[in-house]
Amino acid sequence: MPARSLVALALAAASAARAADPEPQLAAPPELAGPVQAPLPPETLFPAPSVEVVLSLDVGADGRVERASLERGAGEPFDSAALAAAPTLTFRPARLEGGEPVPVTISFRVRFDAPPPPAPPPPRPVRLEGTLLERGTRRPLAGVAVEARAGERTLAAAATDAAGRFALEVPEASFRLVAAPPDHVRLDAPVEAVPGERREETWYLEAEPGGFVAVVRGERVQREVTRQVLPADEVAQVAGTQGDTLKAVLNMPGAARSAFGGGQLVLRGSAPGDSAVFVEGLELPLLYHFGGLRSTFAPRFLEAVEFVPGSFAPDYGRLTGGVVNVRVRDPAEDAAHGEADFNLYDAGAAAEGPLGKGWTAGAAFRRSWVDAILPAVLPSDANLSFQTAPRFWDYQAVASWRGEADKVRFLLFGSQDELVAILKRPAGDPAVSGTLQVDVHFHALLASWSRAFSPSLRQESTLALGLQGFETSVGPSLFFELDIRRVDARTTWAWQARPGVEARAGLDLQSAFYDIALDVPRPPKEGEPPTPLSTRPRVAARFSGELHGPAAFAEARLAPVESVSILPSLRLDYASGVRRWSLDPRLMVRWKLGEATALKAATGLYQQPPAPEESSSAIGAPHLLVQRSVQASAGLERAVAPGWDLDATAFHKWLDRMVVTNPAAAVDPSAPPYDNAGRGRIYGLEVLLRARLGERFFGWIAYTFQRSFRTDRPGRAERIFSIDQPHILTAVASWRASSRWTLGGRFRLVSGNPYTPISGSVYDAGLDVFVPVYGDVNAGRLGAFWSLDLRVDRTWTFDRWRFSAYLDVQNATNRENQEGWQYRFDYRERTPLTGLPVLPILGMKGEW
Amino acid sequence: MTRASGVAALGLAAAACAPQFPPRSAIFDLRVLAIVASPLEVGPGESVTLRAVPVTPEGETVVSESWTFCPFSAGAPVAYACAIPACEVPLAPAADGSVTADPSALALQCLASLGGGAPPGGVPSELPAVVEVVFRYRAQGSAGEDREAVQLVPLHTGGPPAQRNQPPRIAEVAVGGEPLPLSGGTAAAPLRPGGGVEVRVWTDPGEGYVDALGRPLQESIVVSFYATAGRFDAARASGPEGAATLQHEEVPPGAARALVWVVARDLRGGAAVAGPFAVPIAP
Repeated sequence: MPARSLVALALAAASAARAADPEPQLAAPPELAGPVQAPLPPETLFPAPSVEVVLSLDVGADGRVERASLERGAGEPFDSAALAAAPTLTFRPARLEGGEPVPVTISFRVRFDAPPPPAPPPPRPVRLEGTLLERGTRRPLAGVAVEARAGERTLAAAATDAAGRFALEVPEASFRLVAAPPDHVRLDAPVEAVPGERREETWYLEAEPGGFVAVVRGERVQREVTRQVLPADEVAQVAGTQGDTLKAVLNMPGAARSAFGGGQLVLRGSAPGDSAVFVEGLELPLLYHFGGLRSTFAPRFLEAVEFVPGSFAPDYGRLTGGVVNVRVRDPAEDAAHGEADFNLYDAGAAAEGPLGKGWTAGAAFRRSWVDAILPAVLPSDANLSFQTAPRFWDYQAVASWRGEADKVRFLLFGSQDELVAILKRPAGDPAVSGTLQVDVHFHALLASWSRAFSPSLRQESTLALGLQGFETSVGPSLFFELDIRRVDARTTWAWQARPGVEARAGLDLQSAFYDIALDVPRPPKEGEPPTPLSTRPRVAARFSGELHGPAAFAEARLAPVESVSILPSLRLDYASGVRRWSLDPRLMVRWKLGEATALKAATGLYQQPPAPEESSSAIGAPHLLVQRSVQASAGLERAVAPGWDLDATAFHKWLDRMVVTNPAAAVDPSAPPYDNAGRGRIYGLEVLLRARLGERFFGWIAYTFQRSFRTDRPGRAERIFSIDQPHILTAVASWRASSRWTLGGRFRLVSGNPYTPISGSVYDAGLDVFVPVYGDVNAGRLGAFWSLDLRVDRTWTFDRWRFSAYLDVQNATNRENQEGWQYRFDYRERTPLTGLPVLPILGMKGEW
Repeated sequence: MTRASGVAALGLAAAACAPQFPPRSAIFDLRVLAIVASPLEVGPGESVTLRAVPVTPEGETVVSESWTFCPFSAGAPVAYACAIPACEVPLAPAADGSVTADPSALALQCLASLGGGAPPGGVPSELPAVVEVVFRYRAQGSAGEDREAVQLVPLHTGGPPAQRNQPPRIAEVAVGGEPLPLSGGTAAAPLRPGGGVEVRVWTDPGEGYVDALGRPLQESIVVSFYATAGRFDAARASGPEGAATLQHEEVPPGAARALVWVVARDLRGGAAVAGPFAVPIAP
């Protein structure tokens, strides 16, 4: 280690070695003239920081070392190194006063300094691989900037990927990790690591109020004058609806109020059968369990609900009312998630997650549970016992695959309602006796494929297979059995020829193959007051058949200037039940006046074939015409303030060729039971003021004024439609006070429904029933309905799961709203039939 | 499907919620218990005889009765109003209160009265194969109330049916366990406060018949109970053996007895009446 052995040299003393004469005096001692090289062996251990060896050197007159000996050693290897270095030393010789050089002997100290300790290596960096997830839901927080900081210094920075993951190389072991994802609490966590440590950690960040932000897949082009979209998060929070898929959206303007347990879809004054609910374009065969309790399509995979009360796009047809379309979301692709919930009506569970290779899948199931306790709470003297207490279940399963330009999805859903009850004694109508049995079920498989061939050409196609069954019986003689196998197909192609010119065209095919056997009283048509079941004409038949409804539609979108859209369209339908074609021309115009205002108008023809039971050659009238409706609407949309949107639409509908009961059939059973003699007119105004203030609040105020009239036959007086509700005011609000508490309310003020007064009765002695004597149809009107519903949600959030509970109080003021009349057996006395009293409904849910 | 299952749910709700009105089994005013027709179905040229069974609370009487006939009714939605009001003709009762008429003759007479013009109200110009003609009975009680009842009689215009519906038959009635004559009698067992008296009825089994789908079916005999005092625990029972208990409820002060009737029906137009049976009311 010569380089490390720095040799210091000092002259301790000098004496003339060979000065024989004392006279000459040494004027200058020898002076070291060159560097000292005294290498030490490698890895020499120093006993002290500095080691000295003292040599005795004879320095000749020429300055060279002639002899060296150890005068005071320090031990090996220092002594040897010093002695070995001595011959290499060169001096300027010592000189006498006269200047002549002289040899001398000197003591020479060689000092070995220990080499300085090596510089410590720089600390190894900490590798931190982390994941940011939303607390409770474990949803990844993507695109979030993450920094490692020491004081104000940023040591490293990165951004989370789609899975919420990030990686940092932090040069220090002690630092703070900082991230501030939007709508979540800020992350500022100290990290104490060991240098060079490789660490993996997951941080769960709680969402802050603002959770009502929902991603809604929207169409770029608005094809209808009025089309409201309610995202799933809002559907889940509307007070009084318990998160039901359909009940929330029916608080929009244009929808009539249904009584509790009544699931009628009455849009813009049209009869319930004139409107329909679709799931991704496939008509939902049964809207509600047991007629109105819960939607048969549970909201677990709900993305949004679209609500079009009238003047809908040509994609839809065979209807003269409105359309509700349920949009389904894809299952979660970030991780596996699940849910279990329990409420007054049912209990359910769901799971979803990625399958790999681009596939995601999920499934949900729920079942009512009231059948488990109903037999126990039913009084023993009740005239009713259950063999199968009322129960329902439904399921939804989704599998999706998404490629660069393609998307494939399979949606399987179904439902069943079942009930077997035994009437111990004949009821008020003695025809109702014995065993009551209801079994309603459906299953549907919907496969869809969409592809964007280019930025200007895209298509979406669906194929659906369905099974539907409806079996009910009352006693041994009244029964209805219907089995349907359905095939539905739809394809839509859109082509943007150039900016401002777009064309869409498609096919909408329906086929149904059915077997039916029935012996039932013929149900009354709208506007026909009900009479006891046993007094109605019986319809009895057993047959099989098929119905086909092919349709084609085309629509152009012309934008001569950027602010104007003109959408003319045509739809051609064939109804095999009546063997008739129908062609519906429609037109929609939209004109944007600046950024905040748009004017809109539409008109068109909407045609609807008679219901299968009306046009059946076996039990109906096969020569019926297709019902018609001419619809016109115009309105205004305006963003009145940040977060506030106003939508006002006036509409008018003319109805003709409406299917009504043929009075001749009451006398002559061979006469067609129905004809097309009915007409109608409907008009109204819908106003919607919708707010989304910040991210804590959503709500709306919806007001509808509408009148709906019918003329059952030429020459008869015009009458009011049976669900004519002139004024419908609904206010909905939901406020997320914190990440734990959400408060909501709904207030409704609605005109009472019309009813047909009863002036007396006639006793049908053969059937032992009293038959009411009705006055003018719908000449009476029930009192106004108003109700306040309140809802409070409490959420407990844990790192990996979340538990929430809600209390939904319907009719919180316990208002006695009249829903009808209850009559004595002979109709000579009556009392108001009121709706639900105050009804608190508790629900709870765990999500992970 | 929605409508039907909704009806089922509402039906259950109705069955579960009993109204706060007096039951149909309580005779608190003038009532028509039955109209007994013979035969129950007729062919061309055949006559039918009908007898109404009106009852009143004790102390009241029926003060007036009348009958009419209508060949073409517009059905239950209009309370069996006559489709051609001019064709609703009065019928003169016999001494026992019954009426007899030839429906086919009266129907043809109605069509003839139109003078060849198109019948109004959807009435066909020729008689259909089966017409349910309407016999209407009106009565007024001494308390001023009135009642209207109808009996529909199938008229087979192509000829009498091969197998004519027969009325049900009450075989036996026991009140408080004691068999009584079908025409009436007094039960030995009194109705005591807090107690009840069982009324049990035996009928012949219902007839077999073939429905419109060709299915062989059996009539369901339904027995109805009526009483002028007290309350039956059920207004109806299913035959061929049905029972209900008359309970000591809503008994008018001072009432010494309750008069009880039972009516058996086949729900195809046939009826049989037994009673009144007097049940003493213990003070």
